[in-house]
Amino acid sequence: MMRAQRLCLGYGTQSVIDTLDVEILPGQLTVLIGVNGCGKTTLLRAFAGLHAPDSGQVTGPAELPAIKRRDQLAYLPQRLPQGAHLSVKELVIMGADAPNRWRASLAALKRTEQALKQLELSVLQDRYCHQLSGGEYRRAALAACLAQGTPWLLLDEPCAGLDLYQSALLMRGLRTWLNADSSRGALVVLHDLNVCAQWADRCILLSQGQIAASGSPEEVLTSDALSAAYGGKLQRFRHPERDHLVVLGPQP
Amino acid sequence: MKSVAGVIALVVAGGLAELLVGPAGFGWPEDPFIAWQLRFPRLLLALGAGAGLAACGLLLQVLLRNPLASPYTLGVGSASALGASIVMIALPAWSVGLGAWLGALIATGLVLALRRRAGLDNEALVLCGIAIALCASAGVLLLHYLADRATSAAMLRWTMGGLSSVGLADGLWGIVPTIIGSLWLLWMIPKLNLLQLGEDWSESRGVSVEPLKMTILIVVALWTGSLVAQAGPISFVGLIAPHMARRSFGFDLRRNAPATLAIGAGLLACCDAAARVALAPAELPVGVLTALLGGPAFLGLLLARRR
Repeated sequence: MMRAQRLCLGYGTQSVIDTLDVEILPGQLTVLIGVNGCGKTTLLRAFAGLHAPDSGQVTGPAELPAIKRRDQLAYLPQRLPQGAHLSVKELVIMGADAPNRWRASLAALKRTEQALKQLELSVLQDRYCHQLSGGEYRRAALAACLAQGTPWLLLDEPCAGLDLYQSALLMRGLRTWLNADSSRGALVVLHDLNVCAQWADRCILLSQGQIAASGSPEEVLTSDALSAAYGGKLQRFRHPERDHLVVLGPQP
Repeated sequence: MKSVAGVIALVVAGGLAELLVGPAGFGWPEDPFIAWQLRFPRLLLALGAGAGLAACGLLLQVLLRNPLASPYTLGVGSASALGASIVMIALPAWSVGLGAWLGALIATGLVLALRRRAGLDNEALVLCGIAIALCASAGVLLLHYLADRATSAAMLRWTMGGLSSVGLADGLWGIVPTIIGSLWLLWMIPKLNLLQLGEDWSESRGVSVEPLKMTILIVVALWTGSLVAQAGPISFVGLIAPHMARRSFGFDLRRNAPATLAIGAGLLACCDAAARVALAPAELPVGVLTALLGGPAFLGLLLARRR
């Protein structure tokens, strides 16, 4: 379990997260949503051990030194790695082992193969990353996270810039990974509320550095809560054929 | 430099040229003093300084993720020139090399202190290096103005770089820091490879980024300072060798870093041998030749990449 207690985060004198308490449980796909600048990325980086709290505490893998943390959590940053010069397989395998080996271990090779297969990248594995589309490159970066073989995945906007199909492919890969082992957990920042509604087990709505609502998508994605956080009138309804919510954004 | 064989050929050619080329012509010198006390130490210094400056350039290019970084980007070259100039004017009893070494260390100490105090990012670090270089250059100009003509000429000559060595100790001063530094570089390659991909990315894959960056800055300061103290601020090798290696061997440092070391060593040895015969019997300072050849070669590399 990862937990934040009375957590305050910021940049210099600017406060971003203010006295926040939250628990992230394994076995769930937890999604962080909220408007731009509400502190989603900062909170995710704090759970990844990349942003030191101004006050309060983050417990879980974030407390560990980098070399041990790498065995507990894999982090996909919003800005993807600068690996244009590598092949997909090289990108995935680099980091599948602790960073003190010149050659990958057999276990790392196996995890790499599995991750590529899971995200349907096996056919692209020898292609250079600069030859990939945006969606393929994002999936390759996610495969690198999976190949790390950690129980926790922290993903910052994994669907940014992806078309509907690529987005669904990536989220399905994530769901398959999560379902394979109940000790695994994922904390994901998403902007698309419909992707959140379709895939999240638990949803946390951040607003002005604090939790505005937390619970299942059904509980959190209410018209009132969304309108208060995003501004304007957001509408929601249940899709008549698929069993999940659909959220319509405000009309400017 | 298309292949491993090409790189080996460059190093062998440079090594043989350093040993066999002299003002009297081409061949192994009959006088053992010339062979073992002049040419052999000079070869060691050329290989050590070339490989070392190239490796320091590569390290800073990886650290700052800036392909224009060289060992002197953070002001080390100008600061060592200031240190050497101060010693020449005010402390004639001291060794000029020691002054240069201290200058390099003080410049890096200043960069580290500013970085720690102000939390500088990579771009700010480069700007900070430029500011230090400007101040140090102004200091050197002031010393030129205050110095008599002979001292001013000696100061100017020092900034052109040179590999003249007398005795094995001079050669060892060049090669030993590079052997130690290279072993460290090779040991760190998996971490440096990850660092090239981004700081957050490498940190979450087990690299402690802040301590690593600090260590790189300290290693580059000690390494460059030691080489500059012995050979003067030789330019361009540290900038161009990593580019040549990257062009032929890619970005993976497991192939790129050994190639950078070898290309730097071979290039400087070749340039030094050429500098010795270009104006024979006089000797052209090797730093002048590396800059003369390095500028057009660098442009050529850039244009070739654009095509």
